[in-house]
Amino acid sequence: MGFLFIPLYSAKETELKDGMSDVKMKGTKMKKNVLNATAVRYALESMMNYELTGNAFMDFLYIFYPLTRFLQFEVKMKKSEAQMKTQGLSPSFVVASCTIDGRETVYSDFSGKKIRQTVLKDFPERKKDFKTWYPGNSKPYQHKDLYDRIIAIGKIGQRNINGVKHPLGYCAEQNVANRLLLDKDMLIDNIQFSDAIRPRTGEVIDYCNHCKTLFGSL
Amino acid sequence: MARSKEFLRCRDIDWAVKIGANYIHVASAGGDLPKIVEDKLFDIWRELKNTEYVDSVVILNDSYLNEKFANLNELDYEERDFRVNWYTLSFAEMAKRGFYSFDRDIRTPVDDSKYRLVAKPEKMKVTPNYSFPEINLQWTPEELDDQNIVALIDEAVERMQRE
Repeated sequence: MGFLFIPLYSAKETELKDGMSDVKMKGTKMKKNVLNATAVRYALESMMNYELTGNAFMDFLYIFYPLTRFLQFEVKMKKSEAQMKTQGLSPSFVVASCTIDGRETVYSDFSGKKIRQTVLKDFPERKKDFKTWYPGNSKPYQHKDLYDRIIAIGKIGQRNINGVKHPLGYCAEQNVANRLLLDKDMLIDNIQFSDAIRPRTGEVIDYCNHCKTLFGSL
Repeated sequence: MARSKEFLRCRDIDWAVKIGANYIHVASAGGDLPKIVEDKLFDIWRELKNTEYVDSVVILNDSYLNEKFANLNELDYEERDFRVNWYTLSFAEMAKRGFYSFDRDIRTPVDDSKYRLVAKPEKMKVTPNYSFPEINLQWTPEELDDQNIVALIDEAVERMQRE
């Protein structure tokens, strides 16, 4: 039993030391991504020193339970590695909300666990009304009023209109407003928008001039 | 393969190159990509997924972070801590993998951007060996802070092709 697990364990421990340790900063501290390496070590040591008794319950407790802990540990490692895969995300996301008959609906143009948690921290009671999409999945501008307003500014996808470098019709605000207007019967000017946030870094980005002219609430 | 401006403006793309002996990672934040990176973007993404941790401690660019979060001093400590940590998380993750990690300064225009160094590895226990496009630049990664890296790389590649 022992010969099977010693090399496997030593390889994993070095990965843990390299990858999951704290980031040192002046003045501020990163939150620790705690993986209890010592607990796994004790579990494996006790497992290696244990001799099978034939009692199914005791064998499960001393051998298979630590083994399940070890496998969970591996899964957590893979999840932390997945955190870096942020490529292809949009540079900003926006939450739009409307109130109809006293019930508030919140839509976002971006889907992601961290975003969802951050938004729902401010709107905990609105979990059912909170809808998200991945960027790029938005429908074309099927809402007539919004389409007319965009066309009045310029062609969809046109750049450098009134000094705005961003292509017209590709903003997060315009995508999420289109979704909201298609689902709910409401006026464009009644939509309330959140700050525009960059998903990778959480920083607040200014609205562009197109969105300010399109939506009265900005 | 050249990509449309709409594609680039609507995405926050990770790309990486090797300059001298150092690896550099950049988050595009809607900005342009160097031509050599556009041609090999899928290879770069595939290689980025294969990167491994080589260091556990990273050095953050305090002067840039203090400048960027100067207006947050009025907020309480927890809120400021949360914002700074969220900002640096992605870049610190790349620095642990042996990259000098840069971000586009979103206050500068997209077609003439300045790139800021956010995090770099302290001392690498293992020297990483990744296969990213190699570029001959005389600048060290620290000197590239607050420069237009995309224009510098394009110039260097053109010079290499002429020679």
